[in-house]
Amino acid sequence: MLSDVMSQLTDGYLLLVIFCSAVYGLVIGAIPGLTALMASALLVPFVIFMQPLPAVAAIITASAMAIFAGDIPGALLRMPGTPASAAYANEANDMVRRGKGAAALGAGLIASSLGGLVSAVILSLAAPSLAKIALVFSSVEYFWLGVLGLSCATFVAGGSLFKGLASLFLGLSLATVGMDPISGIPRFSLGSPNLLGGFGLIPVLIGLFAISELLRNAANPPHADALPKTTGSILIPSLSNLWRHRLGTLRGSAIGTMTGALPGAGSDIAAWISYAIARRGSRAGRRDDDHGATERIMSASSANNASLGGAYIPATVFGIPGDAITAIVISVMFIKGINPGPTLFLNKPEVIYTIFGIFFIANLLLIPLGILCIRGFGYILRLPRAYVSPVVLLFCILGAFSVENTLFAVGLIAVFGLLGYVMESNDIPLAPAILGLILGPMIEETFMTTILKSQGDLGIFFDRQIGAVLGVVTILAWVLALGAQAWPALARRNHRNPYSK
Amino acid sequence: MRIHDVVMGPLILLTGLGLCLWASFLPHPGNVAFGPGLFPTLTGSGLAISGSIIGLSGWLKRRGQPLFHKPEWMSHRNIALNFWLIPLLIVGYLLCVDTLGFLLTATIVLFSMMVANAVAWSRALPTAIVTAASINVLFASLLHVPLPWGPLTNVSGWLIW
Repeated sequence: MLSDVMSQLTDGYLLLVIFCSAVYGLVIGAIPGLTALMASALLVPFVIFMQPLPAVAAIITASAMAIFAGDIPGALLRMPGTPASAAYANEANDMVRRGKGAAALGAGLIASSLGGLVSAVILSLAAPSLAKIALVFSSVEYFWLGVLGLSCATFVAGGSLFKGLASLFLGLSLATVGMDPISGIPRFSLGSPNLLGGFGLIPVLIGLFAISELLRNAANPPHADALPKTTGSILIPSLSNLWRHRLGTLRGSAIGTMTGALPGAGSDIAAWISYAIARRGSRAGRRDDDHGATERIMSASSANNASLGGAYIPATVFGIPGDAITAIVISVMFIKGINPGPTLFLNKPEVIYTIFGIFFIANLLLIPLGILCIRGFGYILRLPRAYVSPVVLLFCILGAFSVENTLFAVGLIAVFGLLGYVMESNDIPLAPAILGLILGPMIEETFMTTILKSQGDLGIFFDRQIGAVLGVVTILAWVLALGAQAWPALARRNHRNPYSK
Repeated sequence: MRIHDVVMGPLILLTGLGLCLWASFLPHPGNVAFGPGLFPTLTGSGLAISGSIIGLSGWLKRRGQPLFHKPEWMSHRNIALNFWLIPLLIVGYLLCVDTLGFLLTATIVLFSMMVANAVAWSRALPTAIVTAASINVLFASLLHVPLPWGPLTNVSGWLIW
């Protein structure tokens, strides 16, 4: 198997795809306002025409690069390119203002690369063992896993819990459009053949994330200040920083991998947790000088990229994406016939290990290309928005059309683009909706199969041991989330009414 | 475009109730105990409950806030034009691409958006033509996406390999 994996990883075409998507990911991630998610969504129409492995490689590489590239405008302009870079944008920007730009960005780069590599090792070791456990799963366990994943994604989406739930139920409701998976009866299709197969995932993704982002950028054009210079060597000081802050970087990598593996907790949450732990929990991180700032940047930056590797654990083992980027990777895997899940480890282990290998290569490639990107950032930033936005719009239109081969999909991107803009403007998170749309068919199918098998007896959801544990964990997660929401309100009420006791 | 929770909540509630009502009309196959309307009824109920709570909590925290908050960009004509141009151009593309073909429609889309973003038309027009032609070659020749040609069908051979 190892020789199969190595021969696939050294394929010239695959390496070319990895290189091109790395450059693409770095450029998109470095442009303020364009996120790693948008980079991944816009790539889908192109990868549809590729062989399965290069297709998956392109998305994995572009997302890993874009997550790091978000650090560059964060450090130089105090405008984080991706939400994941927001945790330490101020620290890095302060270092740039003190003339330590190369050191700040180099520290982030080397920590990002190491974080990605550590998570890739953990992914390669943990995933096969988890896949063995997953082989005994029935529809009950998959139902609970799907519900648990969706619930966690909603609980950590930020803002109001009920707005997150509204977004989730909207996504689940959208997933019911089209033919019923059990009886084949068309639902909510309004007699249109375009809706018989349900809403196409890619047009909805492009609409919700890419078009709504274009609309936001049109409504609030970002202003860039004068660009500070990053002179001096990047690699050598970064390597010495890596040795000095090795514990912080490794701790960040471990936190990132664990946080990423939890459904719904993406790279931004991982970066914030790691930043907070470095700030309070480490001696070096408590210092207010460059040494302390570097410790915090390296901890958060390594968590940032490590979370991507962690997110591939539930995605590849159970086929359950933890965030929107892995949802895109999963969709591409399904479209290209690589069905993620425990049987993939049994039937095609060389494919899954090649995918893990691609993640390794992408994180190694991050160092040389990241240095070039830091040096050439001025050129990327000078790409005029007036020219970039129309081309992005045309790619969105063509992306939706080329995947679905129907103009109906083009109309969908306008509808979902406006819906995404209105949702975000009203603090309704988008990620639960898209995860609901992706996991909806799986949850409905497992729910209906189970309930039909038991003739309506809900006790079947707790009959099997693993299923019962997952069910209890899911219910506990709901109780805790609702309790956390209700507690401050109750506390305020008691505070206002001293006689209530 | 900020809508107060007092309005947003009932909107979500009505969407959920509408979904439940629609699901109740779905045909029920005789041989199974639970029909195609069960799952949509559950998700619709979830929407309705979330909407009611959002509306209720909005009502409790109202304190004279406006029901609709017009964003600042709507008062600036140029920014509002740039915003609405995006959905309008998508709809325009949808309506025109079969008649005009991809190359002409894409050129119009690119040109309109560049001019709206303050690019001089003398620079926008050649840029739009070259970009549209390059994208046409990329999608039609390399990715084999069946793009329509409209009145340019006779010259399509020049750009398809």
